[in-house]
Amino acid sequence: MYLTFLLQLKNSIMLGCQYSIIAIGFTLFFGMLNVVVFCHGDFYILATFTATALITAITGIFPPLINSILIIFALIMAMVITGFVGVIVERTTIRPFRKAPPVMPILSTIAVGIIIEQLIRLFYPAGSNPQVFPSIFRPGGVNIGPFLLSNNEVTILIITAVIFILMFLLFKTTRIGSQIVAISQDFEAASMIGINVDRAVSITFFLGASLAAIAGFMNGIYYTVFRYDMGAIAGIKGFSASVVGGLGSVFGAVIGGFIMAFVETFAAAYVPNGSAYRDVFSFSVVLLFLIFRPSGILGEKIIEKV
Amino acid sequence: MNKKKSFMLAIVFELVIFFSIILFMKVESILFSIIIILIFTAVIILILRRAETINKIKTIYEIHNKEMLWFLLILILVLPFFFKSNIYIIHIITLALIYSIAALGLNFQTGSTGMVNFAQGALMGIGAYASALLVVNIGMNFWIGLAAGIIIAGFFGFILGIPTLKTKEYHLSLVTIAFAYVSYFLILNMQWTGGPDGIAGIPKPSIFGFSLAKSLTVLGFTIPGQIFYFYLVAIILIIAIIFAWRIHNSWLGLTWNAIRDDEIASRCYGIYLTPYKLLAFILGSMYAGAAGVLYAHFVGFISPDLLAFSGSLLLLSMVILGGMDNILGVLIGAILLIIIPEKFRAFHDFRLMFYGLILLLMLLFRPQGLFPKRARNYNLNKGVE
Repeated sequence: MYLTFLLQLKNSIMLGCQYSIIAIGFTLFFGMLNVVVFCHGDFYILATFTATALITAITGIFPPLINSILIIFALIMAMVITGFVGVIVERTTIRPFRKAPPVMPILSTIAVGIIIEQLIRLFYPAGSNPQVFPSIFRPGGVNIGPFLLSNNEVTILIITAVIFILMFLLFKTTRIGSQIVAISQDFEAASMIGINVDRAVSITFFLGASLAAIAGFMNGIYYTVFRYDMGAIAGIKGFSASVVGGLGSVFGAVIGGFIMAFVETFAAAYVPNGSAYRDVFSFSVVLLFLIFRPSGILGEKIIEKV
Repeated sequence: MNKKKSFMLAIVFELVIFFSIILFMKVESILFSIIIILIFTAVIILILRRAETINKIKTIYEIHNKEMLWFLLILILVLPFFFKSNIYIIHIITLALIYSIAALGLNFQTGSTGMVNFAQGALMGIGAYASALLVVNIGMNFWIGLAAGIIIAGFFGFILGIPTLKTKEYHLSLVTIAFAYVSYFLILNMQWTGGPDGIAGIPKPSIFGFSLAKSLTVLGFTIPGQIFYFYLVAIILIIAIIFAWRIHNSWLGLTWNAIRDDEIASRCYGIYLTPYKLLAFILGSMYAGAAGVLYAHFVGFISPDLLAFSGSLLLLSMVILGGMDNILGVLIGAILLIIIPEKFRAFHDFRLMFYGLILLLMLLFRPQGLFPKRARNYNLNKGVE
């Protein structure tokens, strides 16, 4: 009983790492441009495919490459490629609607999401079948107390910790971080005091999309089997997480991601026949939040000005 | 322009649309289909470039709305006899009409009130399941199933409407997305809905003991059963159009537009938002329910895939392509988005890609849709200039 609880806790933390990293991307974009990028989940799955293709290609050419270098290289390349896709998406489908009613970016990003998803399905070799992420970790791991933390789980934890620290440092110490904060506080005032807003927006989209890429990479090494259409639901879950935590707050996104993961994992484990209804439970939590606290846990109450 | 001339113009306009659809369906080769599509895009862009042209067309239709509706009815009655040799085309057109009903309902929320609803496909599925369960498991007849489908979908629309009262924009879209996913997963996993296998063997309706599935021989002509179902769908669609048209022109449509343009301003004018937003959801969901019931009895088999997210996206693309808050536009958008992919069945794999591209290109280059909404015209009695 006690052991299963710990095991479920571990599973939910693994899932929570992914959700919160996706949610950070949503919250960054929303804070900056008041726009929800519905194709964020497709960045995520795009990165899983990119990393798979890269690792397969490299291990095909140099079989005895050292694993850790390979992992880091694949991760960074997936981040860079997905980041550039994010920048392109922002330039082509979000910037034209900066002054338009919010219906427009909702629909245009969904359209881009469909296009990315279908491009993967049609042009990746056997893209419509489930894919297997190459196993790049040696079996085994670290024993902590009664249960075993396998190598890929340790990697996920390390990557997440590094990301959180880097995000913290980015916003507290760097120039671009304070520019992003300034733009989220007041878009026009930020451009008035000489911040190159377009450049900062592009950098934010690069950052957000590469965060999605990290989550996608984690998805690959944790579940090992993935499909082209997993992006949509992961994106919606990440968006839900950022709403639960409070849209616009980075720390809230982290909390929301873990809440979503806890609900999902524990509903699947402890409710009878729960694994079939896990998504029903997590989305019901989102609906409850939207009914009773639309601004989320840490979000500011939205006061409309005329 | 006098009254007679404008009447003739309206008839010509309707005939042109009618025959172009027939021509498009008749043409077999893909190359010719592409050419026809290109020609029509060019014509539409040229005609609709100027705001006055479409305003004129709209005014003409407002003056002759009764005659035009009767004429449309006659055209619809005649339509199946152009394709008597090819029942498959009737099948597609019926499907297009069914989706038109659901798209008209979506237009209440997304077009008129400005609330982007991603749950219309799910509500359509709920209506379909309600009727299919009643008819297949309990043995009710089609008409009770239709009524139940409409009412149950309307009820779920009401449920969906409650959380949307406190939310707007992105949060509202998330509410509808969450609703769509919850209903999809529930229907997929519950036992009594048939689970992933869905429900098969949904019968065709019958009128006075005469089943719409059988073909009928009158005076040596054989009329296939599909044509009768087509008529049934067409009649329900026409009722739906009249209803939507009257709503659009009433204080209700005007109130919805006010809410879309500015919620705070409309509240300052004394509009109490709650009932109007709920009404938009309830009425739209009832349309979706009717479309779902018609779909279930038409195809004879439903599965949880009907509730999947892509169905809602398809309906949204129809509204965007045709033009938000424009009934004629929504109808044409629905018909185009069903018929064109069927024409290019050879590229079936690219269908979703095609929807995505159309949605994106429309938003980038013609965000108001093929037939944009126009300013309301209140001095009709002065006639057309």
